[in-house]
Amino acid sequence: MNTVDYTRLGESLTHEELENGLQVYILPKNDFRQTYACFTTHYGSLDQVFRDPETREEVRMPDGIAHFLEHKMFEKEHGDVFRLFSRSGAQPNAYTSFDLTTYLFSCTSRVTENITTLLDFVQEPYFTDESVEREKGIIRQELLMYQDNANRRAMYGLLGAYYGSSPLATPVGGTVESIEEITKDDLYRCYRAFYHPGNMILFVVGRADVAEVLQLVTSNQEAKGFARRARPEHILPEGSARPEQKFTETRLAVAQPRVAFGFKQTDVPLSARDRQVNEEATGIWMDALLGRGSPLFHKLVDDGLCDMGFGADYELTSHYGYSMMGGNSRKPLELAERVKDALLAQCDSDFPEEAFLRTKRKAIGRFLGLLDSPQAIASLYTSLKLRDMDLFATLDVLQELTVADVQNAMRSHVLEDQFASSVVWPSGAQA
Amino acid sequence: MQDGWPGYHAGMCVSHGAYYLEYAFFCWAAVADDLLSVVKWGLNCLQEVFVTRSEGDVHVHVLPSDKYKMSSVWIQMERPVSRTEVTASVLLPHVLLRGTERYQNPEDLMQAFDGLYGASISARAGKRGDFQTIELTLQVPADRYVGRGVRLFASAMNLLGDVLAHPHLPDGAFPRAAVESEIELHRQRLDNLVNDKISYAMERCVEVLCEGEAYGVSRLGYAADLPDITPQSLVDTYRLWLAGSPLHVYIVSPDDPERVTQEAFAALRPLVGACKTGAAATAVMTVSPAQQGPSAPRVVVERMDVSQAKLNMGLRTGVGFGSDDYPALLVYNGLLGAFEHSRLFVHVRERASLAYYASSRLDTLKGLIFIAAGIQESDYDKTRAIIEEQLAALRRGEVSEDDLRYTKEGLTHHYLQSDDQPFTSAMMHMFARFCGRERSVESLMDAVMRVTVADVVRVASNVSLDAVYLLQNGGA
Repeated sequence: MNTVDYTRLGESLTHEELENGLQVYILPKNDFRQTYACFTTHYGSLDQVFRDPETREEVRMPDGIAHFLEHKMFEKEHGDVFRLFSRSGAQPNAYTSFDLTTYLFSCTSRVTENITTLLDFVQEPYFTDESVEREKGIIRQELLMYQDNANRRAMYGLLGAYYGSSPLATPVGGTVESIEEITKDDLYRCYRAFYHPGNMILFVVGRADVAEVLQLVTSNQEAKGFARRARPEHILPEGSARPEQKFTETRLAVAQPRVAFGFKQTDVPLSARDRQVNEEATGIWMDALLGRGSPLFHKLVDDGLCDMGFGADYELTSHYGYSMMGGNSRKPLELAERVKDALLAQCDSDFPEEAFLRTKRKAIGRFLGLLDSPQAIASLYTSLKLRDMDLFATLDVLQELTVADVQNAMRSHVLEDQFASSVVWPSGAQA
Repeated sequence: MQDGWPGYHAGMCVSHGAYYLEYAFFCWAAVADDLLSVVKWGLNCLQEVFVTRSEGDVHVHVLPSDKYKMSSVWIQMERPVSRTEVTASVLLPHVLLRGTERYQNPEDLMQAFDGLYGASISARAGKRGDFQTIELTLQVPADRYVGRGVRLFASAMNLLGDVLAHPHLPDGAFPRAAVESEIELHRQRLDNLVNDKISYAMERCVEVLCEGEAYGVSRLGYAADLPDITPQSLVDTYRLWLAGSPLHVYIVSPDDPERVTQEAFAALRPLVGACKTGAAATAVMTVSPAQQGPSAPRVVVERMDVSQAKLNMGLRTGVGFGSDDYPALLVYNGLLGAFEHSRLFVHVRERASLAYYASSRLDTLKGLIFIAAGIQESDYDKTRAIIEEQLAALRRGEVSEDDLRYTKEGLTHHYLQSDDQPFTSAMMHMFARFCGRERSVESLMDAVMRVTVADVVRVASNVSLDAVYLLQNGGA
């Protein structure tokens, strides 16, 4: 058991790697009422192709299978898992992203009972042909719901421009066609490949007795007899450095066009620490140049190019990175050009020191705010950990950040050739 | 979050792909109301923790709490909703964020907040039962986490006070360019309501159900009113609010409560004389009465170019936060559609595979229940029949012991968990004020635990399905 005290933050984090390889983290917050736990496997929609750890052969699965598997984990031979959680007043959920699948609950009583339920249901798959077929109707409606969402369509449109037909540009849930191919046997195969404890993280935050939780999890895992095993081999999609397309577009029943644009990262920093510095530095230039306190943002609003919902975001992993900016706009192409030109022009001059200091402080304040949310701590800690980064290092990274770091991050990202954009136009058929 | 960019408002530009998450269940504040399940701590409980000090009609309620790293402030003003004033009132908070006497344009003002370790401010108009509200929030790191001798709270509170008390009014009116810009933005905001089909269908269902009532007045106002709004008329609206509403300031903070109270009053001093409790503020919310006798619901079908149809239904219960049957109503709604063991989820989603989301939401102040499901258009009749069958089953008292117990457990968890968010206690304080009934969490939870099937049947027998709204595919 290894406990780190973050005295400045008033938090302490306990970590233990179990015999079977499961990583367990516990962050007690005993003045909170809830206990929040999430159980995460390093398996998401990007893992379309992988090497089967049992047969060693390369396997390709239908799009959306990780998400389908997540849905199906809730059904058991003797009924739904929701009822088990309901019995003890807990609220369960789960989500799938590009690189992970998380099962979670929050509760305000019977913590040990609920942690046991969480571990047990995720570690006991039960799929039948009939229940797999029934789930297709539910997931079809989920995917159709997303199809009507202009924001998602613009974002996936931009990912399509960056990555072409790669799984990076395929909706996490797959398509209404691709999920039809999924079978019970596919689900079991993916389950066996990726749901070994050695590929998983358990994070418990909130009201918790650290020793008691650790003891509970340890004995629960020992009883299941998982042998330690090498981590599964992820075979991630290869792609070109340049965007596959400069522009994509589609139509939807919206009142106003919605646009997403940005730059595809060319070089991804090798070390995790460098990526973390890069991420924070990028957050700072984006906020300083495009945020609510920036002159450009208000100019764009007053020129009628965007509304208050305009925003910017950045994603960086060991394999890929990109920025994504945009929002609603009556003149989406003009908005994209104006922002791109302004950012390119900024790269040619010194980064404003005063704006750097202000937004750096802001980032520190916002990081502190995040620590007030058990759910945010658990989900961010886990997703960063899977990328070899440490959420609690954020404060140090921010404090050590220099204006040169920000300038470098910006200059290595904002490159004319890496720019792409995507627009969702009104279909003209709306009421 | 109509026009928001995910990840951005959290202030963390880097979201780690959070917007791609695809959930097992649609999380849609199902238990009661849009902001948490606020019903829990009543005034009894609050009096133990919230310390209130009033000067004139400025009421500062402070709740010391060591559990948070941030200090949170929520200022609320409230007036009975008025069709003629609604649009200008919605515009007002946006214009207030455009500048103060000291920081005369929005970028300078936002930079001032940003400089205080990213103090985050929001200002919006809301609709709470029959009241329109103007709500300002502020969150700023507690002084102790940013270093010795720093007075972040006082500085941020002063800025917030200036937004409300000292707006930039050259020549006695809001700057023309700012007002014109905000009018145009609001026109787009109204147009863009259709972009999010789930919330659009929800809003339309409210309009259909409550047409002609105060609650049927649109939360965001009306485009037709916009041309009449001028820099001068908006000043009248501003003064109307200051003179016609009390000012409630809720503060949850780990900083010293005495100091926080003093700093809040110092920042809001100019408003002490200005805010007056008129007759308006003493008015008590009215619960929509349940429809008497059987009658067919109003059905409205709207067509749009959509992949998925949205079925929304509006129900009146005749029971509200202040009613004796309120605990039974909570249990009724829980059995119907607030949880994953609820009838809507089990019958519409799990058994019939008709929908990904199928749930019900309770408006506590008005005693209204809204059901929502995203379905295939051709399944409309089938889905509606299944939903109506669930209402009938509850009227017949078909409630298993397990379901009753799970619902009570689920409600308890929801109430307790929402207490981990700083604004929850303030919301409950507001509910108690509005409904004229104090409820402690203990007494409410006790009452929920004592609810019987007979109580549920009594509530169910008064529930009337009064509106059906369907958004389906096809040209307008």
